[in-house]
Amino acid sequence: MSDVPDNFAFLDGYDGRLAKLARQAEGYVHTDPESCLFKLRLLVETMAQMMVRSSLPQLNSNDLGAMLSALERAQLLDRRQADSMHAIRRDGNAAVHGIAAPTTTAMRRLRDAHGISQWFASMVKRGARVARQPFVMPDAPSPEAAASQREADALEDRIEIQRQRTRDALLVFRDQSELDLWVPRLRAELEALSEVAATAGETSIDAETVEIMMMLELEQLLEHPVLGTSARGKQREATAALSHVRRSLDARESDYAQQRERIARSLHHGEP
Amino acid sequence: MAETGTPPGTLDEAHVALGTVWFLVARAMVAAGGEEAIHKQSAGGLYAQAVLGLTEDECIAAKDPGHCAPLTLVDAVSMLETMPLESGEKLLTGLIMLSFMDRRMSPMEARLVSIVASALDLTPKEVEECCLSARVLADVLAPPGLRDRFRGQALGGPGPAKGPGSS
Repeated sequence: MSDVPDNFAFLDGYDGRLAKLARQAEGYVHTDPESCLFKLRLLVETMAQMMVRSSLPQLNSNDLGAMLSALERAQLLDRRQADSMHAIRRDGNAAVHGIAAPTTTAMRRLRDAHGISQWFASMVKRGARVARQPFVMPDAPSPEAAASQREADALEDRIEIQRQRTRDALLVFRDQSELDLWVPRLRAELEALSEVAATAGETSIDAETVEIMMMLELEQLLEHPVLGTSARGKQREATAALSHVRRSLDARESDYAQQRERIARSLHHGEP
Repeated sequence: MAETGTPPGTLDEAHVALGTVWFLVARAMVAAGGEEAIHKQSAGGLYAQAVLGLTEDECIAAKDPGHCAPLTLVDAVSMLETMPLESGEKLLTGLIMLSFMDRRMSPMEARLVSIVASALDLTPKEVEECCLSARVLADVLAPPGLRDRFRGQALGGPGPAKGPGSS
């Protein structure tokens, strides 16, 4: 067994539990990638719980996905950290469910965890300077094993590109630079259009009426004697449509897991 | 690998055109709200796929900078004027839903809804129908934490203030 570098030594000064989990994950990366992913998921979950406890105590959920989404909504996580944490959550979940993963998957998530940990350490102790250390890849047990990771590497590249694409498709603005470009421009256009409409005496919709309708409790709306039937129909339709999108995304993640499992099996057991 | 709508790799031009108008007006709604919250942004994208039936590829093509960068809000209004009523109503519903994500409608957001309703030539009754759909969709598409908040706040309950003088 080759030496394992201590990429997470800096965490000792911040939180002993996190340092321990990170080291355990690092130690498992070549010998037991699934355990590595499981430990990394636990690491991210612990960080998320700490952040929720200190900044969003009103959040009533222990689900990691929900915690990360809430932290992102509250702008406590930026997009990069959130993407990395979600990737660890997803791959950790697959590992927990017994789906085999190649070392490459675990290595990528370990590298993600290293970046997140440095960010987290600088955030939990505001003003503290975290000496940024580059991630040192733990050596493979043998050069043969390293060579056989190429297929797994190519798969991980494809998965990262596809996950990024999914996110780009889902957001109204693909990234911050797009947002910075469009928002001032659209606000200016809207103000100009608004002025023209006001000068022309065009009536605006009654925002209060819209608000009153929108502030109705959903249950009240669904049971409404006149609107209820239509509202229930719309709810069924929307729920089915959303489930369809979610199933497509889940099917894709499951497809990744199967491909990883196939590679992991062929690497570990020489199976075709 | 499962996909929604058209198969992967193929783009339906009508879908891309619909997506172009949707993302233009959705961006305008996000800008009008005065904040760029991530939940609004992802609800906009989910709406495009779940309700408008666009694929991931079509959403990306619709937002391609080379394709949409030269377009203005006035272009979007022109496109809305020639749009079938059903699609137009879906767009307006989505816009109202986005606005509702923070439970207030600012004067600028109300103006955008008016501009779109007027371009689509919708009657007040049709706008009300869109509001009804938007209310339901806001609940279905909201992330779990926000959904609980919607449900926990009755009419008149405390909501985040959104700009002065909401009309």
